Amino acid sequence: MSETITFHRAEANDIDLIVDTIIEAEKSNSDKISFCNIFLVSLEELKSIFREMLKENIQGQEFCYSDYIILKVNGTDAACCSSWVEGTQQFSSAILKANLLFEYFGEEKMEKAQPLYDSLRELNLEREIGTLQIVNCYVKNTFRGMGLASKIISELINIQKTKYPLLEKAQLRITKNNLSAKKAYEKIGFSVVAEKTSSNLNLLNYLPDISRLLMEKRI
Amino acid sequence: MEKEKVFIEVQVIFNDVFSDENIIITENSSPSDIEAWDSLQHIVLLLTIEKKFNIKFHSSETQDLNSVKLICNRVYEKLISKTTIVN
Repeated sequence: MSETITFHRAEANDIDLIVDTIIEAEKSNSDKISFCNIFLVSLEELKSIFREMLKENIQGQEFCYSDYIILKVNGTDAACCSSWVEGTQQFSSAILKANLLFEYFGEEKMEKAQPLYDSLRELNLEREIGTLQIVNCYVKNTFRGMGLASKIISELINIQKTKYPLLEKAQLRITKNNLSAKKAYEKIGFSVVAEKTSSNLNLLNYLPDISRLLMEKRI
Repeated sequence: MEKEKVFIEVQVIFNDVFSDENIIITENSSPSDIEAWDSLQHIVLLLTIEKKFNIKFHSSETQDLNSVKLICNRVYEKLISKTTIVN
């Protein structure tokens, strides 16, 4: 029997699904949730903070629910992913996100985490202006092996190419340990173009890996 | 404190936070002009400015603090408001 695959743009009532998507994507083939470890919050607190951040719906960064699309298989949520074109908002995605983190995690948690910032900065892979940014692509376990990551990314690229016909490049970031994700993205034409590694091995207590890869694809 | 003095103090904070004496800010400076002004440095900037001026940015304000001009204006408003309350 063939499966019926449909896509829809996320709405406010999809926020819980997006929160789960961000957290699962964060784990990146590990059991570590960096936001919990860095800012010393429980999983439940983190979910609550993410919900509030997403409700703001500030476009052009990963905590914007309306930048997500959801793929359904036979009417059931199966995969979720976000995208935006860097530089189309007044400020960079990094600054928009930083302001949201400052606002919703609060200055006390931000300050406590400050000793880690220099090491975390070593992992920074800059988002190039004018490129399509693909983030938090997640396929639920029971729907894996069906090529859904490829389908949802293709859909996002089509949507954004229609809106921005001059788009030439899509970028995404993964942690180096996430070999299955790397393989899946390579299969659909992405290749690694940059790698950053932190010199601070202690970061392994906080993050799934201390190396991050930037992958790109011409679109 | 006068508005010009706020700007001068903010200049010192930028040099300190970015560990670069050569960074010269203008009112129009924004993260797109200063390469090192990334998400984490932005958070450190806000924390340092709060401490230096003994002010608090409220949650509803942070989304607007994306350039030197906007930051200085907001700091100045907060200092004026503090002075008014004391007086």
